[in-house]
Amino acid sequence: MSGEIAGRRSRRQLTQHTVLIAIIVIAFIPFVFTVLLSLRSSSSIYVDFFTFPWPPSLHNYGGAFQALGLPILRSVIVCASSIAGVLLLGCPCAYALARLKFAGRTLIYRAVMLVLLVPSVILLTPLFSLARGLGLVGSIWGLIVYYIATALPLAIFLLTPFLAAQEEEMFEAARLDGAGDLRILVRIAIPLALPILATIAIMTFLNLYNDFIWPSLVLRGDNETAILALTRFAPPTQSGFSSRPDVGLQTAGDVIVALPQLIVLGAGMRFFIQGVTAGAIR
Amino acid sequence: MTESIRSGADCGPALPTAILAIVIVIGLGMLVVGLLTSGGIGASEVGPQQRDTVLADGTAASYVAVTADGKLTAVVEGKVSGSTRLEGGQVLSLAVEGGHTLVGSSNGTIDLLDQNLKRVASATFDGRVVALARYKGGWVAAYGYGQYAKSYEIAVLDDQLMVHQSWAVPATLTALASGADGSLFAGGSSGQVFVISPTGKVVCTGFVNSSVTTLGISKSGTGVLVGDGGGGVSLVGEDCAVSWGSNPTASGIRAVVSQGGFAISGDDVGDISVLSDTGTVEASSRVASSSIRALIPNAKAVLAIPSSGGVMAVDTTALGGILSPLWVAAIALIEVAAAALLVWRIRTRHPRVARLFGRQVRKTWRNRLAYLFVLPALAIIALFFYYPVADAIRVSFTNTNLATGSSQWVGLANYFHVLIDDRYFHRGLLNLVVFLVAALVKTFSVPLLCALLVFWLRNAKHRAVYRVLLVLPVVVPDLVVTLLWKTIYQPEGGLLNATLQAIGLGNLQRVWLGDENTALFAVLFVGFPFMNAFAFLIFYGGLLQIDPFVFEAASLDGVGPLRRLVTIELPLLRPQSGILVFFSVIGAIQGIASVFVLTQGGPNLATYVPALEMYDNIGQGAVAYASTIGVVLALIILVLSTLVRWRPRRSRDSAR
Repeated sequence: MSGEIAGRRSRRQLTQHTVLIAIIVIAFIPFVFTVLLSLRSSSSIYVDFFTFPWPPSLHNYGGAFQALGLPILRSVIVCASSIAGVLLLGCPCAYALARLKFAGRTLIYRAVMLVLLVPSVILLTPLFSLARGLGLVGSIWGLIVYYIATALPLAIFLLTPFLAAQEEEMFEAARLDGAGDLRILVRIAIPLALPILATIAIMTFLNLYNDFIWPSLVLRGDNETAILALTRFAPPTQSGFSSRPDVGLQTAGDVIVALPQLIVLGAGMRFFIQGVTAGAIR
Repeated sequence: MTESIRSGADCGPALPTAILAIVIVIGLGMLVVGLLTSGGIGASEVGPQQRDTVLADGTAASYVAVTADGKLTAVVEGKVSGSTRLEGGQVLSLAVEGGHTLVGSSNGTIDLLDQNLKRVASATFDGRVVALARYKGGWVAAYGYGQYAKSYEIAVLDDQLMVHQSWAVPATLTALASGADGSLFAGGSSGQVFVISPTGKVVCTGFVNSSVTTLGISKSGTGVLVGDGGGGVSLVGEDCAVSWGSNPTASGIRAVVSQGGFAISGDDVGDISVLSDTGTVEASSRVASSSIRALIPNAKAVLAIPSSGGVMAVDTTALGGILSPLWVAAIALIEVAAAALLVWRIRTRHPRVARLFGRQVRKTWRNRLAYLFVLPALAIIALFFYYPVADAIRVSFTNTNLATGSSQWVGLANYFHVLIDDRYFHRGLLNLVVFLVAALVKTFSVPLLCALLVFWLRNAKHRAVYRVLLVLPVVVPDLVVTLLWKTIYQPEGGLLNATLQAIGLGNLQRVWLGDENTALFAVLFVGFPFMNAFAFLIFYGGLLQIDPFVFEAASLDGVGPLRRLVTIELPLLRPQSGILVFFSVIGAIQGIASVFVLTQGGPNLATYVPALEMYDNIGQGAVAYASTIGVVLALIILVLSTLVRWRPRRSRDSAR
């Protein structure tokens, strides 16, 4: 009787494994094929699609890097400076809202939180007019300023409850030692919040690096971001099949544009999983 | 102020304090109103009453007006000094300068009259004389036939009306203007603005949005002010570039002049508008009940000559605001004095108030660091969230267009259009419903299934490995995934068609994204098997939060996986489900990047969504309509998300 139950259980476990592995394999097929295609010349792809790239050729990567290297660098700079701006503005604000007492604190906190309910679809048009009015259209400052502003509420929303939940003794002790609020913020609050700051930085990076709509409205031609440049990257095949797109070069472009996100998330996967699992985006 | 009165009862007479406070408040109010409001246009009747005026030209001290019946009237210092009637055709054009009056008519004659309106010379040209202007000590005339002629002639005449030169310009001309520096501009009926060199060559051609009706040399910069039949005023430079375009009114512009750094225009219904040297409409108001036929600049005012009624002097000096700078300075001075007096009075007569106030100031000052921490972030959030929402709502009630410069109140017209007439929007809404349902199905199928399957694995190490493997695809940017799928769908060299070919189903090959029947499906299928890392982690986190005793009890009762899902897991995952529904709705309505990259809404609207229409409208500068769509979509999101949030509360009530 009990053996029968155990058998049913292990059969069930086996089914679980099978289904999970099947889903993972299917999910990875596009990525695997992309990498395989990127290692072949397009003319060979058009002659025979299903061949293993042997010997693999890195030729496509040279071409893709030439076209997309600069936009990728630009995107990384934009993301890094935007994240720096968000943390620079968000940390003091969250610290004050969480740990300092002053008139209007609750009101200000509510005013910041209310913003999270505003659908961004209503903001796009007026913010475009605003960017035009501020002379930000056409420069990457139009991206950085917009990104700092739009990522700020989420950062404050994640950071404030975290800082508010810390023990008061630690802050009180520092205050008794004569530390000012600025010192407490830099020496105590920020080191304490490093894990959640990492989560904020990664989430912000994901949102910004993937953004397509805003750069496509604000940037003009010669200073594209990585994603924007990739969507417009459609080189024709060089030898033979010249009416068809160079699939090998395109897929190599896909791979190198994915690299920065791969590195950031690879390094910070722990914070990403922790953050989302703990319901950080609630 | 109530404080000062209350404490005044025991500390001294409160009346002077109250009066001082009232003075300060009123003064501040005056300053704010005076600085923020631009004054209306002051217009006063100064000239004689006339009827059916069609043209006028000259200076404010001495000008000539022509009425519809061909009568010319000379006005000197506001009084009629003489009049005459010209026989022949209808008067179409007029130029007055240096005591001479030049009149062009529909039958091709040009008459030159002296100060007393006596004819001194006359000449005949081949066509209707539509425009005249002073040019290089002589005159210039534009003439030609019909309204849609291929070309008109421009002739340079001397004082005796002898033709010196004449050139053809390939357009139906409507207006001429020449600058003091010898520059010459001509306007055409299709909105062309020609810059003509002294040798008669068209140097370049600029374009405005509607038929050119009038030209006026700009005094604040090089170039010409162009009034058009659609109510637009533009500044076109000598390189033909349109420096700015603005739509102060909806009716055809009849006259435009440059005066004291402003451009002033008059239109067909009697509106006069004042535009800054960057094209912003500073003020606009109706000063006459009939068409403004001419605007004549003066030292301080501009004479506006309406078709019927008295000549008006339009004051442009008071445009900065109702208050002149002198008044502002005087009031500010009084304010400072009153404030100083008030502070002194409170300190000497009402020490309790002073103490209370001082304490509040000190408290704020002590917390200055807190405010310093909060204010930058708050200012940015106000500028990038609160202001835009208000701006979107305001603009949606106007016809604001960045391309044409129009910006007028139109009430609910945009909303009526989007909800009733716009078939693109309606088709987009239909597709949006499909996208919404698909987004919900995607979120609640594979990610939930995976979360459950991983959660019920017995081996902790296996759970950790699967969790990482399932989340791993998140390292690839969403849009790169979209582009990968675009490659997969490629008709040639794409994985899908190549696979179909390889397994002998070549006849099923399609141009997946280009075929109206498959495009929507192909877009929805992007990302298969829809392993959404966010949804997976949120479901998984939710399962971890469920009390293990609940599962133990269920297992003792012999509850199978399916019943467990329905009776325990789904109900207890309600908060997580709520969040994910909210995000799916938002994502489906706002996420247009993948549709844009894959199909741009095509083929033939098969994958069109409303946010895409908004995006297109922004690109074309039609920000009013884009804002309207934005507001409508935001309302849809708010309504749907409120519905989502209501459900758990209701169920909690019924559970009690």
